[in-house]
Amino acid sequence: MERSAESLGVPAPPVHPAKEGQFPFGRVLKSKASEVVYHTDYENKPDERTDGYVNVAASLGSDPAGMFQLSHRRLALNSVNLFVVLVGEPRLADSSLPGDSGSRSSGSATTTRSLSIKSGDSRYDEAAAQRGAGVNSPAASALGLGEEAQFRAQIASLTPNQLRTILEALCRASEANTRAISDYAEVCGKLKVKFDKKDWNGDFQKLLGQPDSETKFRKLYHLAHDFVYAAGTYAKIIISELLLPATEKTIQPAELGGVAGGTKFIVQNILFKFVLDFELKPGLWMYGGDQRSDENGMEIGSAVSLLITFLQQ
Amino acid sequence: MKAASHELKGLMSYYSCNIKGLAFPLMAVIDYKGFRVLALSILPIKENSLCYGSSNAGRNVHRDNPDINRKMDEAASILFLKKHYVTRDIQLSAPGDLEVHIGSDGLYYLLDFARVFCPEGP
Repeated sequence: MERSAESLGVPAPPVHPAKEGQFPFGRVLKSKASEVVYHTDYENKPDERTDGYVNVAASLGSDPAGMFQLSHRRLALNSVNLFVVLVGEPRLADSSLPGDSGSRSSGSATTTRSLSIKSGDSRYDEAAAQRGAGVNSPAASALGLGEEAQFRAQIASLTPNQLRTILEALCRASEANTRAISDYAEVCGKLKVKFDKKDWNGDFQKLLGQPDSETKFRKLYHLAHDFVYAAGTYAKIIISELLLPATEKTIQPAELGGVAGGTKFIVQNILFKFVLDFELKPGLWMYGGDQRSDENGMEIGSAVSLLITFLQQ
Repeated sequence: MKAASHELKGLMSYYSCNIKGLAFPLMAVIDYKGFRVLALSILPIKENSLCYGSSNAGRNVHRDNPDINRKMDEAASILFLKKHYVTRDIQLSAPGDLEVHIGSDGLYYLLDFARVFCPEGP
């Protein structure tokens, strides 16, 4: 099939490395929607084997300076057990990695950096998952304080363009990976990764401010339709994952103020509130008084939440 | 929960008052598998932008901005809601836990409509 497609001159569509089961420096052991586990395949890169760490020369477009070095320092990623670090200067690599790629990279120290990624063992992955690492400050929980400060300094020595190139390269490796790294880069205040989220309220108020016309009301209708569709889609996810522990939820609950409302979630600039009754103090419920009251529309829900309360006791 | 549909009802009635300068979030109520979730668009407001009503169950009640006070009175008269004492000395023409914030874009945003209408006839 491939040969015939090539003979016809049809370029093969790019395949996501994780989906294909291949990876520049290893092979994918298991891959689920939420987690990708890579296994370092030393045999593929015998000449770059260095005590447990494999250097990956990521070809980053036409930029020769886009060869970055990642040393053995680990950045605990969002459910991806890749240990990654960005090394700013070769001398830092030398000091942190004795006997490693320092000699190799010193020849073209100013222009070339390479990318090395170490895959962790599955035990670490489980431990990280248990700690719930990788959501707020992925690296802070995994690195010691001194290491973390050094890592910060190293990231700070990279220019935003270099960081962007790394992100792009890692994007090809794994989407989850990129998200975690961009989170961390954002924490470092070095690179602002902006995800294009819809500003529902801004659009809505802007439309309302316009003089009455057919276009205005058509746009308003479309906005409302989009909002209801987006809200419905995410609400279904949130409700389906209601009984999962917080660490396994795709959409994390948000810490927001307010007495009423219960658990809140924020996705795509939409705030979701569960309207469940809750206990203000022992024996006093906000809506029900002396007992729980999740009336109307929550009949099944309240049965489930009663079950949760029962199980928790 | 009934509170969610009351919230939507309250929002719709305030919106239909057509008071210039009052702004409202987009809101949707989603029922799925027996659960009800309320979805709101995120507003450009902060905790300290509150200037009418209370955000902490009546411990601090605001009535700071005369322009907003006038607009809320106007809306209440359309909805046939009477001005009432929320604390010993502060009268509001809206439920005590309805919040009006001045957004960063200068609009007055209303929030928390669940108790706009009284639960039973007076």
